[in-house]
Amino acid sequence: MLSTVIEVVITIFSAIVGVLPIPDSFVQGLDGFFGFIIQLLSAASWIIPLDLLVLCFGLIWAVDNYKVIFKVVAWLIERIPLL
Amino acid sequence: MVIDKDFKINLKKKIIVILACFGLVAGNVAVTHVEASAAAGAVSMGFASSAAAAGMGTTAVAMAPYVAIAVAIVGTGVVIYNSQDEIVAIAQKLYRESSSVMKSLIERAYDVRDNTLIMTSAIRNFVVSSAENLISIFNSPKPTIVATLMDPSYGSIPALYDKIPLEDMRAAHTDGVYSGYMAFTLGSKIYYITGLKGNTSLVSDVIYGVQSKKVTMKFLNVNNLKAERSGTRVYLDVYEYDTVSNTYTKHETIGGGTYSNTTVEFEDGFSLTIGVPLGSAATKDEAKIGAMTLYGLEGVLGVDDYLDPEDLNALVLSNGFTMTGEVRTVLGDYTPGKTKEVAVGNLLVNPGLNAKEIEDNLNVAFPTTSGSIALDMDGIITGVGADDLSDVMLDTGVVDTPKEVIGVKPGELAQSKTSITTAITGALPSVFPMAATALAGLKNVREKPPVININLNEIFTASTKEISPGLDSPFEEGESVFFDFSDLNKYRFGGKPLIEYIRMIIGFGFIFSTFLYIWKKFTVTTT
Repeated sequence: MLSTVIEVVITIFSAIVGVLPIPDSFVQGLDGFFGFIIQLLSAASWIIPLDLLVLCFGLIWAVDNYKVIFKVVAWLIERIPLL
Repeated sequence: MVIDKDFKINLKKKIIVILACFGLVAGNVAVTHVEASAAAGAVSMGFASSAAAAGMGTTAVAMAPYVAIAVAIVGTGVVIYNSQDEIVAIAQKLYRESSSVMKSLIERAYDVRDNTLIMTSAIRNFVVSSAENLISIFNSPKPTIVATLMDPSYGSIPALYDKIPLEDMRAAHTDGVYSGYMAFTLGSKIYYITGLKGNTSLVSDVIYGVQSKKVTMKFLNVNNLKAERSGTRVYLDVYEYDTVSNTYTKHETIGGGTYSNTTVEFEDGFSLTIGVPLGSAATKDEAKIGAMTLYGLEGVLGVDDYLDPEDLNALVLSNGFTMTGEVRTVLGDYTPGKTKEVAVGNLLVNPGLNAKEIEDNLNVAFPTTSGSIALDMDGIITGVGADDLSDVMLDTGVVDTPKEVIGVKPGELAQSKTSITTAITGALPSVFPMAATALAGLKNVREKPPVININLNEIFTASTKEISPGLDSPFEEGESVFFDFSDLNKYRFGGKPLIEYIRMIIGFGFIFSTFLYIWKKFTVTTT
């Protein structure tokens, strides 16, 4: 679950970053940061329950940003063509 | 309950400090190698932590659970290390002694004839794993093989002479009789078995197995089995090594029978059995190729299956850590000039390795050339996932035709690896290549607990060079294990191994923190 969640998050993020006019150096720094965090998580996996960590942080993020989630869901529903 | 504002603020501060402590602990344990200078810092930090733990011991109970956990983690580490002094001292002593032997053997193994490579994996595994496992070996109630050596082609193991002063073994060499060597531990004792004596054309392979409290040694005869079947005698001298006085005492001489199983009883119901596995109907070819069965091998183990060097060169099956189940080599009729297939069945090895990835019948083909083949199973055994098979192929090094070596079709293997790569890097556009690489390495398996190594020699040299430059260091050059976090699992708390227990507590902490955060988020506060 952990790698899947991280992959989805980074994929979404990369899709956004890819189309924005952001300097390459900044993107590279971001890339290194992500890589570092993933390696850190991997190294700490023997003592930290990573799945639970991701679940909890995901929940906290969802609570903090519930308005964003609602808007995204509403936007997606609007995209559904009427039958 | 009314909680005043100051207490809330203090609690927040405490939680932040505690979380920072968790971060420090996680960061520290993530360190696998500590350089000498950093090691000095780590040591002093450890002392400071222990002092802090001692000072906070009485007040920790009254503080938040997080504080108790943090103190417990730091304190436990210190206490465990201190209580293991004796075992650590024995292990270090043995490791120092053994490692120097094995280092010289490694150096020797690589620069002599090709078939000496049969020893290499076992030796390397011993060197690598002995340091990591010696402490646990001493606590294990089961017999554990720590080293196996069998060198029929040379009939001598010079490097061992200095360390294993067994006159019988030396005498056997001078007589031109083969000798073998095996060491295993039982509890706090170490047993060496050596001085194999027998017909030189017959006793050329020995297989060792451990099953519960039983060690099995089986002899494979390579040449002229039928012709010289009668009259063969095998003797084993069993020596007990006292780790304290560094002396060897003869335990017993066993064997002497003609192809009959012989058993010697040790204390605690542990027994050693030797015998010849092949039936009376074995033909010369069957005997030459042999059949190998390892029974429930556990612990540190290196197994060498020495086949006829002229025909098949050497086959190495080695295992660094744990092997359970059954491994069999099944060979058909051998025709010179054609490839030979070996089926290695039911490999169930290190945690983290998916046995399905190996397949039940991993076919290994011998090269048709006269060059030697050292099939290094380490890559498979310590690796994770099917994609490591390709690494094994490449890492064997001495194999001329790697495509024929592994029974997995090269196309399938390449496709498998490509699909894995595509699944990750394909989903992630090339915007974040480093993150994609790191993500590819992030499997759904836990990392092993880290091991902190320190270089005592460098620390000593660095600290004395200004004062007394000529002072000889009492420590050997190189790193030694300072603390192995996997040792924590030898202790149980709350019905779980300690690491599992700590994980559970941390998990509860995550859930509690999340609940607390959300609860506060939806609580209407008035100022």
